Amino acid sequence: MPTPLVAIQGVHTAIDGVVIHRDLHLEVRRGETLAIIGGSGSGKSTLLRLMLGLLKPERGTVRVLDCDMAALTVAERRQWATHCGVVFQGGALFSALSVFDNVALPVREARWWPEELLTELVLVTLQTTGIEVHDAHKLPAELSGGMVKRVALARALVLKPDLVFMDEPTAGLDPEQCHAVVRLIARLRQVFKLTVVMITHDVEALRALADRVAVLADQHIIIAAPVAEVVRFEHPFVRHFFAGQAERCAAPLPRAEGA
Amino acid sequence: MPMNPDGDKAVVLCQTDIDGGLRVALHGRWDIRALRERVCELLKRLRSVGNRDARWDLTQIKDIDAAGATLLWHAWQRSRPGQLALRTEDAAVFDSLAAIATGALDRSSRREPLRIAQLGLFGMRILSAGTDLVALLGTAAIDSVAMLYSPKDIPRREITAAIFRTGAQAVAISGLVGFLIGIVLCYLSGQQLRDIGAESYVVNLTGFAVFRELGPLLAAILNAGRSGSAMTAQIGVMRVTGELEAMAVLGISSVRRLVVPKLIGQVVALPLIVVWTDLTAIVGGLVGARLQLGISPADFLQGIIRAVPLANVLFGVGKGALFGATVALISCHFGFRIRPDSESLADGTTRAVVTGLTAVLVLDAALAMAFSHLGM
Repeated sequence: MPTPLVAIQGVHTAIDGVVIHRDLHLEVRRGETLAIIGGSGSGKSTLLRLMLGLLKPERGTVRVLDCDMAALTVAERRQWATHCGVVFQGGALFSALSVFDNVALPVREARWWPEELLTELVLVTLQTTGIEVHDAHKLPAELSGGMVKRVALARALVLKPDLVFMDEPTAGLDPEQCHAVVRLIARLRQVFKLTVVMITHDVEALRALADRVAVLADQHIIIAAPVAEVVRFEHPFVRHFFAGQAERCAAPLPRAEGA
Repeated sequence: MPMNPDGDKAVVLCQTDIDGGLRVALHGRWDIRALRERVCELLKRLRSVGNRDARWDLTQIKDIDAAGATLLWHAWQRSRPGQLALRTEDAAVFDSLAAIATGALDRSSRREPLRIAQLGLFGMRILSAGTDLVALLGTAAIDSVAMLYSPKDIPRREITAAIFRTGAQAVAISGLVGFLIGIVLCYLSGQQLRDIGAESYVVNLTGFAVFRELGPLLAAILNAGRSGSAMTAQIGVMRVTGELEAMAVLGISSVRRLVVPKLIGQVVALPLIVVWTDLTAIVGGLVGARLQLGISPADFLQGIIRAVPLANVLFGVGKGALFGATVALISCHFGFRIRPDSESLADGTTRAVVTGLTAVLVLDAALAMAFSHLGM
């Protein structure tokens, strides 16, 4: 059986004495898209921080791309980072750099590509995510929410990573932008042959993209299975999550009083 | 028969067809990971073996991404060769490259303005900054007067917070700096005065220097560094996070909520800090005089009271209020000019501190010349 790209075993995390995760196990296989869902404060972002090596667990191991995240040296971490792309919730674009320079930054830092060939590489990568050439000189503050997500995707993909982490890739977008970003991620996943770990609250993104869904509740992963199986899983959070989404979709728009 | 490599390594194979034409076939992986260590070598090879008239065969490639396509594009001198065979799924990346106009991001084509124009632009910027500062002062004055007619609108919480930050939180550092400068001043001047037998004048010199100049100046310099930078950074971060826009949309006057409290806080607290710095500097001088010249504390204090007229003390305190207002206005002005990016934030904060300090020193020199006979 091939080694999973992410292997979390028996992780116990506590922050300021508050237990976040207790005996958490999770695996992400090569080529799959795993969506992590959970209620507010359930520890999804903490789990992402563990996988990115920004936080160390009190017990247990977190292995990503066959590296123990708690034992990486600075040099190893730099090397590891070139194999991973991260799309942060708010984009986390560097506000002082233009769109072009934001996407060029990982390539320049890795010193993988000569400067004379960089322009086309960056512009083509931007075009792959739907950013036009004339927007490349703009600063992040001049971009719409959807464009920020697209630039963040381009920055995450420019080094052709094996694994991409996405934190709420559709959060804060209007429904139209949301559909567009979901379609884009689905296309990029095929083009770049990506393995994706995605935190989301968006059922549409979940159904369109996720091969498996991991539900984080009661401080551990209660189920990690295909969406169809998770929907049938008996747990108050799962029932509430999917029922709530279905009700919201089915409910008519609220009308103003007296209308 | 040409060799048909099946590894991942990017390979360029050339052969001559029956009709004598050159065929260049590419094999292996042509993505950034596979190419990163061989970019220059492959570019050289591609340029040497192939020309745009050759038949390019990309159908045997295992994988090609934007990086591989860019490499080929450069070898082809930025246009598609006449005879090119490639897989359907790879066509899009070359279409993207063809769509990128040459020099799309060429910044070197921007013309630099002439020297004389740069000088003019600099002058215009200074003028604009001066106008903005006066406008800010005017708006703050109007808002302050308006608040007097409507006391419930006075932002009491913000004003007390500003007084606390400028005053209470600066007590320790101002006291320490004042005390040390007092000792240094007394030691250095005492040594010189003793040589000419006028060591008793150390009291007069310390008193005048501290109350008229050093006390207000030290307090203002520390204030520009501490509170000035904090004020600019606070308003700048509010710009970055969109809070300033939110205030405007909610109809809240940013000058009333942000500038006026800081202005009042500075005008109230800085004179108090000046008094505190004066006192600690005098204590420092007293210690210095005792240790170096053997002047008793009682004699030193009586000498100070006798030698330094009250007008000098009040002049110093008044300067504190003026310096406080200047630092507050300049810091807020630069805070509002910050654009929503981190570089601008750093730049704005630096400019605020430097301009605040310069303004304080210029004002001090002007006041020293204008009131040279006061309290003498």
